[in-house]
Amino acid sequence: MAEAAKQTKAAKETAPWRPRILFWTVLLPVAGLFLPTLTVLALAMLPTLGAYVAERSRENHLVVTVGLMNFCGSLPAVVKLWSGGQSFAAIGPVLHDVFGWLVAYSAAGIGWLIYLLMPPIVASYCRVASQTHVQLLKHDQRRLVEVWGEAVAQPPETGAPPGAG
Amino acid sequence: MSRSEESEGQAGQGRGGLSLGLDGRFELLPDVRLPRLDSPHAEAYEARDLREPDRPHFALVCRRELLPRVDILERVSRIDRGSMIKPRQWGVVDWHPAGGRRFAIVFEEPGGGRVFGGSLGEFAPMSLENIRRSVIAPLVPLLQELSERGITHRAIRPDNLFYTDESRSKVVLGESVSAPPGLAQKAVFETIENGMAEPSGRGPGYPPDDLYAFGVLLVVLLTGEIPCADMTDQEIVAAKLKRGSYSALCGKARIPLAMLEPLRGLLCDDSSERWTTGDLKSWLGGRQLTPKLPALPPKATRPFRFAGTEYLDARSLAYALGNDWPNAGPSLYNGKIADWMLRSLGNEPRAQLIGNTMRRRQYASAEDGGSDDRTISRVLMALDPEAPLRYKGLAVNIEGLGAALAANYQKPEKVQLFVEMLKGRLPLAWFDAQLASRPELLSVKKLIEQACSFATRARAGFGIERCLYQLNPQWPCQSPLLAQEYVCYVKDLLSALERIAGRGMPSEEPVDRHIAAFCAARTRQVPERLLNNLAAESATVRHMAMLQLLADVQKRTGPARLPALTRWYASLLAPAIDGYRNRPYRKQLADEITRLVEQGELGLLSVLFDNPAAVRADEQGFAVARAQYRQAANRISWLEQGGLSGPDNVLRASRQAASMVSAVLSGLMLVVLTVFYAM
Repeated sequence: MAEAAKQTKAAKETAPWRPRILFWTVLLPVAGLFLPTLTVLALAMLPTLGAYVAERSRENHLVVTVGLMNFCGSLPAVVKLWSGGQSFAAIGPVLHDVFGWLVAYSAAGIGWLIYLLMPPIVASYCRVASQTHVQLLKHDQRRLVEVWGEAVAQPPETGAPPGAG
Repeated sequence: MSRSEESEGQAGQGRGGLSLGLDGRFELLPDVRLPRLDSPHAEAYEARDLREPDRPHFALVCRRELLPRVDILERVSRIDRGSMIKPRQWGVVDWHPAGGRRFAIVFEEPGGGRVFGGSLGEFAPMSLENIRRSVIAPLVPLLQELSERGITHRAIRPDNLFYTDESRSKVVLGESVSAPPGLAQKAVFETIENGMAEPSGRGPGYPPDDLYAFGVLLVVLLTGEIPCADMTDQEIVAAKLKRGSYSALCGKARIPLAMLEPLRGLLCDDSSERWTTGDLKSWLGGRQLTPKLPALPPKATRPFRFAGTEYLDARSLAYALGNDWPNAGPSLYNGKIADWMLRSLGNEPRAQLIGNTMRRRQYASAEDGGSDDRTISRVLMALDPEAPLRYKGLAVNIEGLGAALAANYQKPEKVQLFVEMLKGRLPLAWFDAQLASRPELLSVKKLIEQACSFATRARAGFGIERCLYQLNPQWPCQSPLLAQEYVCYVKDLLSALERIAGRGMPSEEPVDRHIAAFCAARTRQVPERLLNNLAAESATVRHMAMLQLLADVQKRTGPARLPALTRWYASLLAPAIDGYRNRPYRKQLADEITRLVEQGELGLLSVLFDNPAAVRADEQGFAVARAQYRQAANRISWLEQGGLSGPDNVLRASRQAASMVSAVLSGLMLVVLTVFYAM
């Protein structure tokens, strides 16, 4: 089994280029096929690009928060594009539709809003949760003392010897 | 004073007083004393046979410090002859005049009074014919029956003879069971060897010892006086050694010619040559027997001088040395004694034995303080092997060693002598010094070997206490706790402790050194581990060992229920419950103990406390609980220090929450849009 694992690892090291070739071979034709859609999406999701630029953490929570909302907000424009046949000719009416921009950018704004409002809400929650948790832990400690005596609260090196009660 | 007069004289105090039942048949009246029936070591009280109230009885209440001859009571009671006061019933009674329990023996009262009251002025010599008819004729068959049953009387003396009725035509022998054998005998009634021994250490002896005493009794009855009455016991023994018993006792007396032959035979100092009951019967039948000549010890060609006296025989010299212990050593260490034994007495084996003993003394270390005393004792054994075992003025027959230890147990200085004697294995040296092997002593030797081994071990369950009970199978437990009780057998021990516990919880521990040794000696199967634990420093371990010991006794002998004793132990073992950390388990244990106390079974209590699995589980549980407590404390500390509500954690959590909220809203929007465009 260890031998098989070694062989697999060696095979991976000797051919790292295979997935990349496969990726570009599939992606490029697909991208070419959906280029009008991608163009509309690229313009509608500019707030997400902004969020990506403004993101400070490595986990990209801001991008995820804004991006998911922004993507959903962009879907009416994409639907309209697909209603026009998903062609470069149909891009113009879509880009001129203010409602589409409004929905896409508003949704992104809601995403920003969620991101900005969440810390005070979570802080309040954490404070309450901490207090509750402390109460529960103290209750557990009291129960342990009730069952095992005060000695249970003492560290092992200073604990009373067995038989001392 | 007649019996009725005596009883009526005390009726005011006695009648209506406390009467004590003994096996349901006899009633003892502690308020009605009968001094005329007293034994030297036991007081007599009136007793009644509830089935036959017309037959007069009396009870002898034995002293606590003296051991009655419980081992022969049953056999003596079965003797058919009417020539001896027979015990009818015996046992332990609550004897309120002494404030405790005592051993009592009920006898049928003889019809006549004592033959010899003890005062010379009141006694007239009996005629030869009277002695033959009323003393020898009835007592010889009795002595023969005693001999056949393997019993010795050991209390044949004039003041222990009673007339059977008012006609004074026949005598009966008094009792001999209320005290150790030979204890009440003056040296004059004892053989030379028994006379040398301490009265309490004479041992049960053999039938020839009774015949010797019978011979002296006949001399007293014939002459009306006690021979050598003006001499001390020591002088009497010395005289017997010097001249032989017959000459010493009858030398100045006017003995009828017809009695010379039996008296010479009965007072022969060589027990193998002494007249037997068969010889006496033949003599009574008129047959002439060869007269016995006094067998005196071999005389030396040159005397050995000790303390200003010259001795010509080894026995006399040994006796004198034994009686003057402080001066014996210097006279022996110069080595002349072995030379005297060899050259003057021509006894080479004994001379060699003495020489070896002296050499052993030279090799003994200087710190061994008892070496000199042991050497003296061994030399005396070599000089006179038949004599009692002697050590620092104490002289006991080997079979009387246990009884002597028991009788002297309340005297610490005497007890110390026994300890030294046993630790020095002197009794075993006595066996080695015997001229011929004595099969009758094999069982005694085995017991004494064990005692010597026990004496060297100081722990509870061993020591001199163990020797005491090992050598005296009927000796009651001497524990101070049982001071008001009389516990001879291990089966009675728990009942006694139950009574004590029932009277109130004593502050002492229920098992002391005496009780431990008593149990170990009587049950013989007490594990070493238990005895070791009895001396443990930890009170819990000690109490557990005690509990297990008594639980084992209860299992073997009962009684089934001992609630008071169980409660006593439960209170002693309370700290053991506190040893458990788990409080609910403690409560559970306490409830269980309450239940077991009602049940009164020590074994169950023992199992409850001796539970290593529970102790282990408790320790493990406690360790886990302590870890949990520490964990909770750390968590609280973390929370209180803002571990959860701190800015960093809040920021991280809020970002994650924002992502999640966004994902949820996006999902909802997708659903709404899908529905919208689908319509």
